[in-house]
Amino acid sequence: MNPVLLPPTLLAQLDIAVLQRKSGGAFSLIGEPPFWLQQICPELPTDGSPWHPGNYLLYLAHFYEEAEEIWNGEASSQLTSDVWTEEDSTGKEWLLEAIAMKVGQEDLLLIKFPSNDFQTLRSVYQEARDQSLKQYSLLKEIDKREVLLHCTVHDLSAPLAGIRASLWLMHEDKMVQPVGEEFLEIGLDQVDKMQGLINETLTTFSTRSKPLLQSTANLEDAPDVAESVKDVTEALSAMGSLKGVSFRISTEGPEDTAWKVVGDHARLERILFNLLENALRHTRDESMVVIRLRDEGNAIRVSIKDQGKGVPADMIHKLFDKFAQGEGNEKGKAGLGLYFCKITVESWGGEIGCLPNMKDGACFWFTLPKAA
Amino acid sequence: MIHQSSQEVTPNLNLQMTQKKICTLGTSSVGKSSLVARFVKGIFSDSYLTTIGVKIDKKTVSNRGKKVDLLIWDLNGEDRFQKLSMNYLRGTAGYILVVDGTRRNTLDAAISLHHKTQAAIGTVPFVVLINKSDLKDEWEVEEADIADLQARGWTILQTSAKSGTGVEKAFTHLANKLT
Ligand SMILES: Nc1nc2c(ncn2[C@@H]2O[C@H](COP(=O)(O)OP(=O)(O)OP(=O)(O)O)[C@@H](O)[C@H]2O)c(=O)[nH]1
Ligand SMILES: [Mg+2]
Repeated sequence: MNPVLLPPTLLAQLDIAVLQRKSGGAFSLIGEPPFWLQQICPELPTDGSPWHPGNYLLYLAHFYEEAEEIWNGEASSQLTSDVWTEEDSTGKEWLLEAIAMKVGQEDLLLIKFPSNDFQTLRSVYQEARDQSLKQYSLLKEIDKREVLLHCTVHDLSAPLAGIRASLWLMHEDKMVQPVGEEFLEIGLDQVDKMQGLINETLTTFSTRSKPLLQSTANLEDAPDVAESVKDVTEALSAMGSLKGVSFRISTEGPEDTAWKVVGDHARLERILFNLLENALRHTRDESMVVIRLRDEGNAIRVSIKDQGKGVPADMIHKLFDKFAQGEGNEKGKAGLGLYFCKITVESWGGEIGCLPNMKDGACFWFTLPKAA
Repeated sequence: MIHQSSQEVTPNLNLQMTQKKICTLGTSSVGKSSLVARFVKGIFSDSYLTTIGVKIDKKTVSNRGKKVDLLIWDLNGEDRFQKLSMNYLRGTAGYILVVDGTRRNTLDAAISLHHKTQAAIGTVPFVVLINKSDLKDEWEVEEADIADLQARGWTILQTSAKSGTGVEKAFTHLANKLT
């Protein structure tokens, strides 16, 4: 095949630009230029006189380095480039690829649309990425709301319990006149109704787990904290490996220890996730995060020790407050993580804290009663 | 290891000016193309048009008093849908690693891209841009993360392609580190 003999309009109709390499790195166009090439390079000479496409299609300069091997006859007879995008003078983008080939004595450079149709390829990736962005922000929103909901409900329950106790005392000790007694009973009744509403809100809105203030005390549904630690460290191991951080889990206790605790599976994992992610974030590169599980008879104690800078002593008592880390930009989610851990662990009858005076890293711990 | 040719891209045109190739790296939709559009054309768009392959732009900057043509290779983001072809990186004099401040996992992605790039082309100057600083209220990347990276000796700059904050500075900072 001698490309020079092809009908001049054929190549344009195929939407392929065929360029013949001349001396000095210049090229001349064979046949008529396709529409898109004219859009990208309005100065393109159409009479076959030599020009330098690499000055307009900047990607070509990069491709020439590999194409040289084809044209010098050192490699197999053709080479296809990666795809690239050109913007024309109207702002429209064209996805292109180039092919270097040797036909007889001729060095040829073909420029064309990639074999994968541009619009299809782009729209598939676009759709996939749009969707995954949407999913991400949705999950984030759900997460934020769920945590906020639990915190708010927790905060509502405490004063309500106070009101109830006061009213109850007044009622028990007959502190009010008989006419007032009637109102007291209405008050008590309303407090109970409100507590009921709170519980209902929790069951309705928290789709992923059980209400915060209830937990499983029966053995069958009780979460196994050793299992949960294993699952959560596995989920975080990819992130850890980026920093060169590994997790080590150790258990202390009689051989027949059952690691089942009071609590709810999903929330226990979230507590562990919060604490372990925190440790991962603060530990130095190439270090280890150690998780210890200890059987303390009636309770299980979990401690998480990192090898970071540790928590300054004057910060420890504030760590578990709401919005504790709220330095400037870190409001919202960041400040609720440890607060969530605290109210949840405490609602299950456990304790949580951070050891003071650890020089070689922070050590967070919590205890949970064993499931009976 | 991709063979590393001269870092200067020699044009066919008889230009007096040196050209330097730099690349934008990062996972998808962190704002790589937006940063380039802001820097080269001074524009920003809220709509998201994902990059396929590479798009090359040119801008003249001054590098320690001398004029240099920056060839900016705006690459596709690497994510679970599409990998980055290491072939694009050949001849790169430096790169910018872009992170979306509102999505922490984009930081992990940037770090792993950095390691991949280093393995492929060796050590060249780079800067890390934590982008979308106009959305600081929604940032998941924390000061502690930034301090972590700075402790490795990395240059971390905060940018917003939307407002333009820090963008010019980021590119000129990298340009000045190019050899
Ligand atoms: N608020 C805000 N939005 C931004 C900023 N930079 C980029 N965006 C938006 O983020 C989305 C993605 O921006 P792109 O520049 O296309 O991202 P990219 O990194 O080039 O993405 P890929 O090409 O798919 O890898 C677009 O909707 C932009 O408008 C910024 O600084 N602030
Ligand atoms: Mg892009």
